[in-house]
Amino acid sequence: MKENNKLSTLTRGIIKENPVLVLVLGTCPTLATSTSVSTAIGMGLAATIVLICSNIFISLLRKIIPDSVRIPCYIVVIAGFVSVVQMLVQAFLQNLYTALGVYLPLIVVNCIILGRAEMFASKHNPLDSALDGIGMGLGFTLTLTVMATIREVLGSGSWYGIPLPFFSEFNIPILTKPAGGFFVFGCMVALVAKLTHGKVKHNATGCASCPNAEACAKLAKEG
Amino acid sequence: MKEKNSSWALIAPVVVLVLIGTIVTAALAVTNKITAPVIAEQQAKAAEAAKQVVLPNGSDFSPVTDVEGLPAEVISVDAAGNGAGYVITTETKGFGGVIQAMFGIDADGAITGSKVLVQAETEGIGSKVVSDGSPYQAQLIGMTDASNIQATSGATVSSTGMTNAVKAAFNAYIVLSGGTIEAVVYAPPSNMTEEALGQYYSGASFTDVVGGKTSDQGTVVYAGAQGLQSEVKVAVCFDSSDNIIGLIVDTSGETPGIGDKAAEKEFTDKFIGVKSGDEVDVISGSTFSTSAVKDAVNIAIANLEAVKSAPEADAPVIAPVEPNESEAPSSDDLLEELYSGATFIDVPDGKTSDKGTVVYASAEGFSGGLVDVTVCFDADDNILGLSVDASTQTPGIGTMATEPEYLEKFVGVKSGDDVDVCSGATFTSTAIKNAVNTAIENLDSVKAGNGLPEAPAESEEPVESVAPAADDVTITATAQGFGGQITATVTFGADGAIKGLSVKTPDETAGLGARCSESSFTNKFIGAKSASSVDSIAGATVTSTAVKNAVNAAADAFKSGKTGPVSAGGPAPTPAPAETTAPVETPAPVQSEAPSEAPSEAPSEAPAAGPKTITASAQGMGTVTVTVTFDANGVITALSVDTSGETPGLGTQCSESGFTSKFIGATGGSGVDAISGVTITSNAVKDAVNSAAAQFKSN
Repeated sequence: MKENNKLSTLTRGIIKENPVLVLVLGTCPTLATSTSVSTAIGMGLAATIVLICSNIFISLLRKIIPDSVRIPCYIVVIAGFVSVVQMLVQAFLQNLYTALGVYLPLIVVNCIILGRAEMFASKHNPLDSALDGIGMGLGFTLTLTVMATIREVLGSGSWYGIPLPFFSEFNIPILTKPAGGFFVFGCMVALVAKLTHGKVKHNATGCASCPNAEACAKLAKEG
Repeated sequence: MKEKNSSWALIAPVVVLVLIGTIVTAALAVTNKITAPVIAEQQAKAAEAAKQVVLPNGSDFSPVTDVEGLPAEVISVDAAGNGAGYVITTETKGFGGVIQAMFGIDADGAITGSKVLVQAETEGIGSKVVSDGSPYQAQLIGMTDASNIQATSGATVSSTGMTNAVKAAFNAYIVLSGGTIEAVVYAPPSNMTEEALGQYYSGASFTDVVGGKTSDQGTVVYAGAQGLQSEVKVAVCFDSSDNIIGLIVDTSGETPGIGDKAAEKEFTDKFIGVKSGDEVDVISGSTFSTSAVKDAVNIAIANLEAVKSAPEADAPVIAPVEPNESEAPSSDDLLEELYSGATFIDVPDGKTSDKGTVVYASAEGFSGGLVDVTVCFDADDNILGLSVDASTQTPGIGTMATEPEYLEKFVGVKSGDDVDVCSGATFTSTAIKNAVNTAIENLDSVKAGNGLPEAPAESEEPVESVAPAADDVTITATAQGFGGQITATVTFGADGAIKGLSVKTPDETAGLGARCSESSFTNKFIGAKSASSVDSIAGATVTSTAVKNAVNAAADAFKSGKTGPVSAGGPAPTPAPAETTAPVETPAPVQSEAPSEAPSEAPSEAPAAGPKTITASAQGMGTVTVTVTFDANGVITALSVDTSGETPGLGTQCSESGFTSKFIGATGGSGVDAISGVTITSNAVKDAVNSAAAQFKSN
């Protein structure tokens, strides 16, 4: 039973609580980096590393961090990790750094990371948080890769930069544009909603999933 | 205990946040310590690799900072430590913005490679010039000077930007290798006349020096900068204390009606008193030409001291205004290709031969510029080919319609309408189609003109002094020019040939449109029966076209006067066609003209039956149809406009009563202002109203 729990913590990020398609978090980097498969995988993995590290640390610190300053604390921790990852990538993975461009620093404000810190890591032990980070990160990476595959193959006629026959002659350039990104995104959200029909707990996307839920509720009470 | 708890609760957030901040900062510092040298090394390696792209044999690059006199376009120079040459980075202006390019020049002064670092050229057009490995970039390898660079067709502006960059790189190389570059000597603007200078210096006696003029009242400095289509030449007038007191700008190579704005006093006066051209804002819609003026002003300010001490110039620097020779669009090669060995006889509006007929025609393209088309027919009147002079159209856009792929579509058609417009160059290709239709219509008359070579009459006398013979008829017509109405007073001989023309251009730009009133232009009309064969003055297309329209209107009036009940020799009533309105001044009239705007004073006005409704149409974005009701005097009493072919929300505004009511009470459309932003449709309505008015009058 316990093993089962751990496994479901790990796997639910992939489909059932997919951060992008079900929780609808991190839409901006999703649309921005899913134009080609290589940047999508790079962005996904970089976000995954940050997500795992920040989840573990926030889980460790969850008893120390006072409620009133938890959001600033999360942001400082996440920003610290992002900067570290950025410097390491720049030093040792120059090509990936060039490809990710401005999106790497943007992980700081990637709401998946802040969202999971608030929703999960602050309430669970470090092991579960790490598993959650891996699961969510994989879900994010997989979604990005699938979206990027659709957009790159149909939009640019290539996959991972490799030109494909047929597709390179009949491509749909709009798919590489933001509008095409929204189109693919919408289709995928609809597909996942169909696949998980009736199984997704709606409270997962309700107030609880919002980083501001507590402050919001407090405000509502006081106001 | 409780107290301790509550004070801890108070300070805990602060302590925790400070601690987390400190720890994270420490972690960052450690990571930075590890990665910074690696990153720096990689960046240096990347920079070196980038330089090796253009100078493959170079290594150990180091920036050169101690060389004076490098061209302004050069932003950095790196010398290869192993003596392989230099890497020169330049920044020049392209179409979409700056082009930053890097050139490798080896020790022998030959280009080893080039790479564009920053550019914003139009994808598919300008990008052909700046992309790696493009024919433009490939031709540079091995060049030792910039004289043989081939511009990429259709991407002239981007090519010019790149060529300027290459020139700057070569000049930089000359400086780096110890030579000196000759200072650019700018020519004066062609419209800089004594009169124009007189506005700023009264009675000064100037000495012509290299690059300007000097006098005790101040200095004139010439400069130039790249506009949209050509170099915009500027003469900057400084007073004796080096303040700018005025500008003379020549935009004759720029788009008429758009680039011209840079030469208008309203814009040039903004420079008075400035210390830098950058203090003046560009005119929206005329960005290229106006920023060229700004650049030129900066150059002039920089060159002021040099001009003041410059040696006297050898030759007078006021360039004579080149008379614009009347000639058919260049098509000799095409003729040779299509009719090899045929002997042509020049006839009005074309050429004839036993192998076929060539017909010249023109039509209005984008922004009023005329597109000249030469249509070649074979002996069976089938179109063999055409050549198009679209030099008035936007390079790279309008000129797309002049590409052979497009023109070939016209081969064998019976009407220009059989060919689709060229996407992206709708106006220009529509003009070509219209011109082809005109040519097809005129084919028979051109063939009939066989053996009647056009002999342009040379008249040294001013037109006003042409003594009208008994049969002569003088007609005054007006048309809309660039600045306002122009008036043409045309004297026709009994055979309909123009014997004299006097043009008044009170509202046209001095030195540009005003040139259309000069006899060098008006004399070209003499001997012709219509204005179609006369070429516009380059740089004054709008005004020239207006003169031609007015002359054509007068010719139409003459013709209809001949068919109507006119008694020869006497004062002939002249039913006014569309654009003929009251004469402003008639120098030597042999008849009293009927001012159509004051019908009550015109007893000789063509008799009108009574109130009448006439439907007419004109070309807007689509076709605009108007239904006009005239009263017995030709005054508009009602107007309804069908703009169903126009852009919803824009062109359709012209069918609203706010616009149509402006026509009520008028006798034509010319006096009504166009709706701003809806010029094309508004003008179409005005044209259609005018043609309805003409129909009314001819009935």
